[in-house]
Amino acid sequence: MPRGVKFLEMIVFDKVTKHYGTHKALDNVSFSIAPQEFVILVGPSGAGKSTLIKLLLCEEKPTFGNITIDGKDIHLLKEKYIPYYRRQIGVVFQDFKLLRGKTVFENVAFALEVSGKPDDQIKKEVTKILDLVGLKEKADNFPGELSGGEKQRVAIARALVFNPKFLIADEPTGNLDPQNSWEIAKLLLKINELGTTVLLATHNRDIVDAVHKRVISLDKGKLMRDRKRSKYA
Amino acid sequence: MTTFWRRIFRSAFSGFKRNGWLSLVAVFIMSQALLIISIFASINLVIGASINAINERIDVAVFFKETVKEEQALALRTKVMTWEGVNEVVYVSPQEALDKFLNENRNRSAIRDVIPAEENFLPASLEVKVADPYVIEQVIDRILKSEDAALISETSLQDNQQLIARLRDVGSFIQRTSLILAGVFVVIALLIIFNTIRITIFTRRDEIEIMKLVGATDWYIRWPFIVEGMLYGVIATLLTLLLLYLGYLAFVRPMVESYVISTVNSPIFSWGFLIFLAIMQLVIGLGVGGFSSYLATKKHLNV
Repeated sequence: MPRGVKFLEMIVFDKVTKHYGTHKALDNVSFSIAPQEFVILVGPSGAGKSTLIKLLLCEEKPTFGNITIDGKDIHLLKEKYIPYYRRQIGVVFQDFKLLRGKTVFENVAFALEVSGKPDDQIKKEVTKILDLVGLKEKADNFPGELSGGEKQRVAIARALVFNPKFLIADEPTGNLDPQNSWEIAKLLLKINELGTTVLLATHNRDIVDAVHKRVISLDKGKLMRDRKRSKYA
Repeated sequence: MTTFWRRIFRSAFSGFKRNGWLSLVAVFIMSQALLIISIFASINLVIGASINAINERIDVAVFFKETVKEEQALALRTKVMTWEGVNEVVYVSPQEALDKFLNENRNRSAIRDVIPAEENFLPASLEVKVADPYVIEQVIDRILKSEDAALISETSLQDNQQLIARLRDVGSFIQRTSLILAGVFVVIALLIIFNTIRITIFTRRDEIEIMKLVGATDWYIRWPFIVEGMLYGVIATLLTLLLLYLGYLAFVRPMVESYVISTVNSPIFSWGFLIFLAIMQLVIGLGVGGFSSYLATKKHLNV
């Protein structure tokens, strides 16, 4: 089952509801994401974007409904297979979540070490991916020595190093200035063109309008709109 | 698999180095605990050895009536020897008793002069030694209630009883107290160690979270912390042995050199005991360090 989830098929949210106590974080949300699609998730704070991402990462289980990939319910995965499932999803966060004590190279290599790959292969792949995000020269710097945009590119490199079929970006531009935000958005578009499905959660209006891709709007846990090639509404 | 363990160990060692101060605190607290445990183990051993030595000296003499023949006395000896708790029964003939008495008083000519050389006034006796001073009364009681009671004129139980009772009380009091104190200290030390390790792990909880999100298995995350905890144990053991040696140089050796105490026949100055201490410290250090880390990571792994 775990290695059976390949992200070659649709990701389907089927009537997903998530309660935290009496609070409905997600309310009967249904949609699907096709392979190699670029989907933007918008909505104000508290709309349920983060909850939706947590459900996708198997950090939480839905109260009702299910999420299937390849027709398989990801929340039926056994606990011990969840790490293997997560290795197929790249995740980027607003706060980067880089390890301060490790260099840029080590931060990216670390994700591969976890999966038990041999050292020489790790070196090759990390060098390649740092080249892709344009940080080859900063490989030996520590996160503290980088700008916000550079940190986010390290995080993206780490997310991509597994060669995932699916990349989730949770407010990746939340801490960045417009110039850097746009750089990150362009990088995500490039990654999508290379064949990776991208789910971008944001409330950066400029980015949404410039990217001009499918937009799913959430508000108070409900799915309000789902439009192709849309602008921020 | 070797790649796995190589990475686990590398990660553990770098974790130890990068959290220098907290690692140091954990090591110091752990060696303090090991030191306390070692000192109490030594005290207990010394007291145990002393009590044993005293117990061996506690014996009761059973004196026979003058009419009793040697065969009857030896038959009783054979019987008593088979009883539970009896270590040794020595038959002392009147001649032996006299020899011993004369030998003990060989410098006191006044006493020797009044002893008639040809007439032995001392009775034959059995000297009964028991493993545990608590059973001595029962043994004597049993002799006096058996059919052989007629052979006995008197026992030295009355004379010894007060001494025996006092030794028993003191010995068991000291052992009980030191055991309770050791227990209390060990529990306190364990709580402090556990908390210290929890703090070191708490400061790195974001690291754990990130590892989980990039798809590290629970054990891949946990092992470096456990190895690091065990590393505290190893270093703390070395430190404790060093401190014990310094303590020996500072306090014990001067006493030995000035003949206050003797290291000969003392069980705590043997290599065997030193090795026992080292192994005990290592086992406790590894166990406490590893287990504390295991427990402390458990909480943060629920991402």
